[in-house]
Amino acid sequence: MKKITLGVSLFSFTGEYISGLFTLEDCIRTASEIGAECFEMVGAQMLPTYPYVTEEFASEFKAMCDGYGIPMTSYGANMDRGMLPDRDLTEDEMLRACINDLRTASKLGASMMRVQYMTPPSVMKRLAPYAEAYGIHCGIEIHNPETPSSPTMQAYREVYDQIDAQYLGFVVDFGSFANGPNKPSIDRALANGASQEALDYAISSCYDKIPREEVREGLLKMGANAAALGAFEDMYAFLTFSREPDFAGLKAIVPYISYCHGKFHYISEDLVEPAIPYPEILKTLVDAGYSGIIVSENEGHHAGKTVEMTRRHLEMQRKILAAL
Amino acid sequence: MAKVMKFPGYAIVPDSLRNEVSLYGQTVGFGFDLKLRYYRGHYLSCIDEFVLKIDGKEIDPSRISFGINGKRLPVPLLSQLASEFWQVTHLARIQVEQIGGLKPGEHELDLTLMLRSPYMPNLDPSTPNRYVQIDNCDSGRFTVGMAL
Repeated sequence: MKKITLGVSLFSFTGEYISGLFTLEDCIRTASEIGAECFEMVGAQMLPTYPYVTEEFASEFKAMCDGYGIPMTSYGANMDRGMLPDRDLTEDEMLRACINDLRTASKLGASMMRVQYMTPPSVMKRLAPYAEAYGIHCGIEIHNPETPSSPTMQAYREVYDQIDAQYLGFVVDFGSFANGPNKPSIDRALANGASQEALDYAISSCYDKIPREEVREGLLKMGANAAALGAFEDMYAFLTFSREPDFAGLKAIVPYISYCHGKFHYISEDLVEPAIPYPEILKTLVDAGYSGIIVSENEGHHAGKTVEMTRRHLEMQRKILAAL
Repeated sequence: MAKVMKFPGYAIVPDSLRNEVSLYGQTVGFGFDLKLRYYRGHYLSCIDEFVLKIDGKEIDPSRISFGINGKRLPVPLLSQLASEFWQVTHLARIQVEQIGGLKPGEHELDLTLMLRSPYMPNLDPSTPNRYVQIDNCDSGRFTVGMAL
């Protein structure tokens, strides 16, 4: 059986890149050095000619990929629906932006593209023939707080089924299956004076799905400081977690997966991500026959040791997959 | 998602405040380097607010230019520049036309710079913003360096 391919999103090196410590070439070289088999690049972050590609840059980029022996398999596109000051982009304008992203991805050698959920199902439907013409599989990112089963994501699936889309699917971000509070977020709140009591209350409320406003009021009554409130806001937004992650939903969408974002915030020395249940996620994927790509995506940019954490993440996944 | 995101670190680049001297040897203004404090770049049309105060006094925006991609773009036009992309690793050069420039020594700079993160809708109905905001404000005392 074909094995899962493990790559790295260069987004993992955000801290090094934006501080000027790493160039794009350093990011590509590092991904190769720590054992990634392929990589993803977010255009709005690292493409010097964004959102376009010049012939000059395309050949420079190809030389880097060839030189370090690592291909870019996926292009991370953004949908800047709110880029104009007074109105959102129309569907026609969003479609044109997506087609331009396809051209860019294609010139850079990618075969897959991450599309953000600001792009509605109706635009994805119109994008289908272009994705096919460019030979690029386009996946809507399922990112926390969305899950595979949430109505927003199911609306895409319905459209995909309707047109029997061969080049549309999902990019699954494993953060959607978090089953515990985010360690760096909690550590940072504690370092900034949040009380353990306030954080415990926020954590148990998130587990019990207590409405946000109720919890906020409770925290204010407890005299929670800004750090505790910040950690709470994140728990109710892009760092949500649940006692029952949507594994059934994951299993059901495996045939639609373009590729996966192996989200992590922290990996311990003994190779555990404390908030995201990797053994269960990887088992679900393998049991359902998934044999595509997972790119490691570090989002613990403030937790330090980025390169080492990303290396550990690859090692952790290899270890889990080998035991399955 | 917090309604306003603020990344750590400076926005006004330390030691970048300098007077601008014309080829004719006259001081025609002053400027400083500005960092985009975020993880990715943005179109200049995502800048919602740009207010610069020097020593407590607001500068007329029509005298300020935003230097990026080899251009000096007038600040009042920023919201219309939907195809001018500010790379996250590129410093913008903010320049103020002011014959005579700044007096030597320390000055108080206060920059209000708010952007929209155009792919993150603001889900909090209690605030009017369509999208989550990025706080790229900075202030402090800066010494005028040698003109280049």
